[in-house]
Amino acid sequence: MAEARKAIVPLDVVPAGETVLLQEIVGGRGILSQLATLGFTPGAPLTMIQNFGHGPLIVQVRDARIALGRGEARHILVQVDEKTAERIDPRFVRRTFVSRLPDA
Amino acid sequence: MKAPVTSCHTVSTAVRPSRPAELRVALAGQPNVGKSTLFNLLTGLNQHVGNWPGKTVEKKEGYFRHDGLHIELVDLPGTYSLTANSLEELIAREYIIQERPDVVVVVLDAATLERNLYLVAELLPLPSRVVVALNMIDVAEQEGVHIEPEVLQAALGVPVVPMVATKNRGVRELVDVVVRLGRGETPYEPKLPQVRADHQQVLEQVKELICPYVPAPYPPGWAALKLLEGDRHLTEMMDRALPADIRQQVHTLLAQHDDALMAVASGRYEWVGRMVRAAVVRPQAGQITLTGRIDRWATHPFWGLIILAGVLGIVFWLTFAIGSPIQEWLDTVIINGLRGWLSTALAWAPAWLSGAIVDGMLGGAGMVVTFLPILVIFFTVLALLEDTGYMARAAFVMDRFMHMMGLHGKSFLPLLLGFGCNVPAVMGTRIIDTPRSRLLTIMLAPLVPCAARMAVIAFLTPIFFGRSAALVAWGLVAMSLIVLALAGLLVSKVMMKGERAAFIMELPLYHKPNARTIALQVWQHVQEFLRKAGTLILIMALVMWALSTMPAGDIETSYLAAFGRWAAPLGALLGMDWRMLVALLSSFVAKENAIATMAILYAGADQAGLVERLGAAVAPASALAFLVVQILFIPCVATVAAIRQETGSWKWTIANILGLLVISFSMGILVYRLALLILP
Repeated sequence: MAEARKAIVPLDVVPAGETVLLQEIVGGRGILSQLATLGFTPGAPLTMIQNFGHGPLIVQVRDARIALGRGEARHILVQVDEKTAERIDPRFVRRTFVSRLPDA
Repeated sequence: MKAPVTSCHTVSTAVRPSRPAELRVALAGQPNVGKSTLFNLLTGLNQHVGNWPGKTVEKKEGYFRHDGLHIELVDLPGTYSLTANSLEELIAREYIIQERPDVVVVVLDAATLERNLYLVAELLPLPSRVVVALNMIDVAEQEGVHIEPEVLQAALGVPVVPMVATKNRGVRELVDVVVRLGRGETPYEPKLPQVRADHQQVLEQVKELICPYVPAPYPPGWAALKLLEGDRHLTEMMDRALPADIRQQVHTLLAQHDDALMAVASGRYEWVGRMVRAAVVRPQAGQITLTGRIDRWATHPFWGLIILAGVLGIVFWLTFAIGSPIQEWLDTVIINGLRGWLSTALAWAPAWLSGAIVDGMLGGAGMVVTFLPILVIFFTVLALLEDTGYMARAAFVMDRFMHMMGLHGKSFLPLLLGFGCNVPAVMGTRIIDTPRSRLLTIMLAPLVPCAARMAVIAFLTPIFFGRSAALVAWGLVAMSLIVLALAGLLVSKVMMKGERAAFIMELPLYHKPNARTIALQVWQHVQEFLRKAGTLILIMALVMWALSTMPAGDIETSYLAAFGRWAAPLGALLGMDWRMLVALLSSFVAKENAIATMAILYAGADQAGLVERLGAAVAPASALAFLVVQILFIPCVATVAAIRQETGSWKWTIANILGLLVISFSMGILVYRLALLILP
């Protein structure tokens, strides 16, 4: 199992146009189940369609567009590559070693 | 019927023995996949809309004939999955498990196949045979997604029929496949999804433990899976069914695997991924689709609001340009014509009888009839916006504003409709998918000042306030909207405590609306309004007529007036005399009645010089208090009937009336006391 140093950020700080990988969702069973159903499972690629830094955002996940409140998006932690991480406020970036995720 | 026998290791999908000329089919699917279009296409007017037993969720049943076979069709609620996260999901899966339809047709949107197949992954382990209806393949092609149905069929092991329901393409083929599968003429070997590898062992353990205790007709393997997912409904059911020691063991196992929910969902999506890789050719990365192009504008925080304002402008223009003239025509020509004819025809009858029929019943019926044009327009527009996919965008751009009062973005449109009339506002809340947000929106809708109340304001403010009338009218509307926001905040924080519904909403692809679907939906809503709310309006209008004319035949000596005089001490708190109280009470039938009642009580039957007399008889502070109470007062009978119909509960309906009574009088007292300090 390959290991790599990765940058983990909450989804709400990912800029529009970036594609990231879902790491984990922190939250209660209700929101977890609702998001998992829509395709937010570990390893799933998410593409940020719209994020103006305020108000709800739009994410493409498994060929569907989902609108998320910022509060909900904060519960979703995603892996970003170094180039993207540099564009994000360092306060939100957590660096960690993660094992390779199972295929989406 | 005997409960089907299920062993611990296999699920029987054998065809249920049924009468030869009968096939029971259920329609399943996620929201926005064209399920209703297919249902309407198959059943036409042979359908019945009701509620699921004991629930406020709409249930549509219908039948059609094919090949000499009488086929029953049940439209299950649109759900993303079959985990009991919502009432709809619970209803859908309980129906399939308990009623065991011969075939479940799952309708998929081909353009979002991956997400849609998740529901198929949930359906396959259940005991009904599944047919996949691959709908909207034309939209998928337009978005650059190409699907090979035969490959998908081979991969799934269940029949797959490509179709375009809006163009009636592939529907006949679908029915053929359904009938053949229902008769057991085609092989059925579904390839079931597995739990992610790291959780297969614990799934087996749970299954072995619970197997002997799973109540029929629940499939044990499926029950074990739902326990791993932490499904609340199933966990409670198994807690009751399991002996204490086994229950303890199961809960210990589950506690050790609290990430099982994700493992189960991931397992399903791995299975989905295999299907999609086999059968779908994806669009080139970076290709911008039609939906993407429209959404750049429609969901933009600024331009989105401008577009929404434009759409709403058209809605209101339509209402007033088309609806109001028809409404007036119905009222003056039809209702008044009928009134005149009836009066002559009933000349022989005693006054009380002709009065009851002409003024009481016809008055009520007239109100029901004159509501229709506006309802038809509003329902058409709502269905159109929903069917094209724009509704989700409107909800998206309004969401942040609505959240301030504990509401969902989708609450915005119904509330806005309330400015025209509160009745479609209450009925329009059907577009809100979370029950709690929907109830809260219904409760708040009467606080939106409707056109009839605005008419009263427009008539009375110049009489009482002369040149400041516009300012006072504007202030009254602003006040009622502030009260609405505060009430929303209060109700959502205090009375309906608990987690705020998360804002997670799909933005479906845009597509062309289907006239047939929209027409049928409007027809159903109107029919239902006439049947349920119409009856209640008629009865209440008759009762109010009786109270305001009996015993002597005029309002000054009526029971209503007696009640007004009795309640005069309450009125004194707001500087209102009994006549104003009676005017308020009479506005319960229809808001605009307040003017007519005041005219009779203050100016007498001749009504000459009403304007001067009213202006002279009522002090400005009292007038202001009256207008405040009037704009916030209890909803009219039609709205009450709509609230009763939509909440399905007298408890909430009465709570709404009492709440508004308290709010309106509290605000009235507050404004009166303040006005006494400021006004001369």
